[in-house]
Amino acid sequence: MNQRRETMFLQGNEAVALGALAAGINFFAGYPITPSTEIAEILSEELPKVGGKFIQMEDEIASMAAIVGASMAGARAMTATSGPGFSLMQENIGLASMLEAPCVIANVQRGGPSTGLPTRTHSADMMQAKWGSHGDYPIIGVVASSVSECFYLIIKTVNLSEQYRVPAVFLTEESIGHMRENIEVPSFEEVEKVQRPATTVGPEEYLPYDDRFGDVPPFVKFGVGYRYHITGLTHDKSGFPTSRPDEIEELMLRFRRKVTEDRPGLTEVESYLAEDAEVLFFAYGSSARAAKGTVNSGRKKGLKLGLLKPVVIWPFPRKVVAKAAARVKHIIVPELNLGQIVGEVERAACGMAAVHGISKVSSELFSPGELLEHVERIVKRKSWRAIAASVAK
Amino acid sequence: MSVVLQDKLAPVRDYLRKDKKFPTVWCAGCGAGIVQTALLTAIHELSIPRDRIVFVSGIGCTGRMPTYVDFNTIHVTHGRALPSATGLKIVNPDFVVLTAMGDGDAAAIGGNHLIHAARRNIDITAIVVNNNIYGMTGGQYSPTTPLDSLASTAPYGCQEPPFDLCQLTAGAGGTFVARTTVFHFTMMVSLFRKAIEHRGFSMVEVMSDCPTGFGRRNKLGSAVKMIQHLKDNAVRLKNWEQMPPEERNGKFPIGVLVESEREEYTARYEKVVQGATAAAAAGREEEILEEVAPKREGEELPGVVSVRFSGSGGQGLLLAGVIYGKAASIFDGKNAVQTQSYGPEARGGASKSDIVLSTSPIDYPLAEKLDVLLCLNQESCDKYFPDLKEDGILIVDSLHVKRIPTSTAYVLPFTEIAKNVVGRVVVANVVALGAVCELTPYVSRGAFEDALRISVPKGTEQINLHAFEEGVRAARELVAARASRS
Repeated sequence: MNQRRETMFLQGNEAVALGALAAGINFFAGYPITPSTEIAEILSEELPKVGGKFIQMEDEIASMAAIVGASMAGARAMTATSGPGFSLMQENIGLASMLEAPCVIANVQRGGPSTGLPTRTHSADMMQAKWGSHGDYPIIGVVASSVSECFYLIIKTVNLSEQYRVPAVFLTEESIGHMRENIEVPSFEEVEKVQRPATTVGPEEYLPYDDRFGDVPPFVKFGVGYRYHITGLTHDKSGFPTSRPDEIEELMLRFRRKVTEDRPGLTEVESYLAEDAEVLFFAYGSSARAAKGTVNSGRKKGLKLGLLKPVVIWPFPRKVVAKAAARVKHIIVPELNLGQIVGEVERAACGMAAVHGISKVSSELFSPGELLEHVERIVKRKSWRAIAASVAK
Repeated sequence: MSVVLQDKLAPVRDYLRKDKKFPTVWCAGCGAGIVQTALLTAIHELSIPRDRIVFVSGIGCTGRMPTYVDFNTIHVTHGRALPSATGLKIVNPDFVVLTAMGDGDAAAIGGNHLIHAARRNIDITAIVVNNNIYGMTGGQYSPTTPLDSLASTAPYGCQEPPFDLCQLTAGAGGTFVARTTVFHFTMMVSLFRKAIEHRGFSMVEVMSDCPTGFGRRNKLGSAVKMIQHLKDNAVRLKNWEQMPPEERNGKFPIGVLVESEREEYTARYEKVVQGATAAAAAGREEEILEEVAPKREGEELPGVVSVRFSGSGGQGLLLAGVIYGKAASIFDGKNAVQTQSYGPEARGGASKSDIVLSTSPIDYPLAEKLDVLLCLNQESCDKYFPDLKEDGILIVDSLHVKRIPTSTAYVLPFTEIAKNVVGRVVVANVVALGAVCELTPYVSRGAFEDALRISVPKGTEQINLHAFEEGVRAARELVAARASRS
């Protein structure tokens, strides 16, 4: 328990574990997997010191099930994993969404598909974070690009999950998880800990999925006199299974309303020299760092570059991208995958700006110099409109 | 007769949820309702407050049981009742946690969880209703379907032998394992009571009937006939043990098969929490007394500075890199990023630990062109020398690096100093760190020493500071010797 603000020199994974403690996480269930294991190792040691609980389960399916159970008992629960484990967790991530059990899944992304590259970096689980489980389900995704963000954003992720009663995925990369950086760690007392909405009604009146108080139903944990039923089956407000079309639709639409970019805290995009930019990077994770370097070096060369760095990636900040697309010529989306978020940017840009995806899947990071070459190539390239005009002549 | 029976069940009926939940999903003649009644009877007899009971289930006909009963109830995904229950139990060990599973749920998709819950001996009561078939999905064969029985996915008869769930649970370390049938209602109530009262993992397998999905296809007659069949084949354990093997065919033992004591998981873990909490409280008091080292305002760096420590895995390069990073950031107030080789690469002959330093925030975290390269073996020198800037500083170990690519390199006997002067060959990395400190202007010596103190194992501070000092001295002498030569 950190009692004073101090500078530390930490790995990303260490910062996630520390941030989790600061956020009041008191239950962790996980399964060893490179490159995320340090998070479990640290929490196995630190959680008991603050009265929390740690358990290593038999696999990631069980880990995810355990944190859902823990959450219903009132714990602030999380797990940490990487690609193969994240795939196994999808089943019960859907369950957490359906039960509206707050919980956090830290995914330290590694190379895929399958066993892929345990000790090397990719950023190829971005879509899986949103769509990995079946059905239309609400989820929050937060993405970090530095050790400092590992600390501060895991806290944000825990808080959002509690506030909206949805599972939240915290995405980092092997490169960030294993990199060490200096970070200012505050006293844990300074850290805000958002609580899930509590019920104000008595047991007789309580319904686990009551929507009278808004789209996030008030919570009461098991064991305190409110005996209720919850199920992974589609259910009504009382928590019991339903097959009535009106009740089914009501639940699905409430799920969608719960997690939209208009909700407080669910749009967070950092803007760097984006106001007067003609060419804009939309970059997240380690690629955002390289892009920032490129913006700096490009500006020195007279190129009007800027950067939008999404912190909350799910829900996708469509409005922010649409506004930006209306004023810039190009949006460049560098990704350590074969093109995932670029599709979302294209949808949001609606053709107002030219959207260019740049992929790198060699398991190396983008360097600022490399991205600058891409920028120069893109701005030199004739636009389709110019080509069409010249053909017309 | 029926009047007496109703009176007996009146208290049980009080545990049922009153509205909207009935009729149940169970077919006429299904054993699940009998199991539910027995369970409620046991709970009633034990007078457990309803609020303490958490009843968890997975998917299947049996999985619907929590829907109908007035406890804290949670119906999760297929096979996952036990791991969900594990999370609930650990967070609140005061809960009386029950799970109800069918044979598909417990033995197939959730089989692994059953094994591990038993191994942990966590205080959960698992009730497995074994009707030898997947009922809800329409009669597919399960891991307990008898060989040659028909199922909708075994039209030629089941080709896989069934397994014995009680033996499985006992083999995994279950401390209470029992079996009964839906015919033996009184015994079932008694076994449920014992299972719930047992401190540790308990499993009760209830042999049941599925007239719709199993009986009809296998021409076993009505539900009554099927239950009669269970009765005929169930043998009380006492009798079973005296039964000659040739008579056991098709029969199974019922009763308490295993009952032993082993410390329960959450009770054990509670001790861990208490010990750790107490130790942490004591540690915190100590920590408050410790002084925080003052942050030195290091000199402004010329831009981004890149330093690489390289050699073979095990030479302590990672630690050297971390100490360098801590010195620069925590004690000299600069920004620092440290990265390193991982996995097989880190164990190989050219392992590296890179540090990037800057006065301003660092965007790109990796070292590109190096300002300083330290090599503790030949392979890393050969591999990384091309990454060094033209005016960069190369520092090598004289014992392990013989082919030196530039005449400006600083060649120092780190390994020999560590072995002969300091007396511990493992501190060669720290000797080298001392030389790096002396030969480069980026991080102050005081910062290095502070970083060393907080990074090395307790009790080894002095020997490490000695090693560092020797590295500084050797480098200083080398520089002086060069100056006098020129």
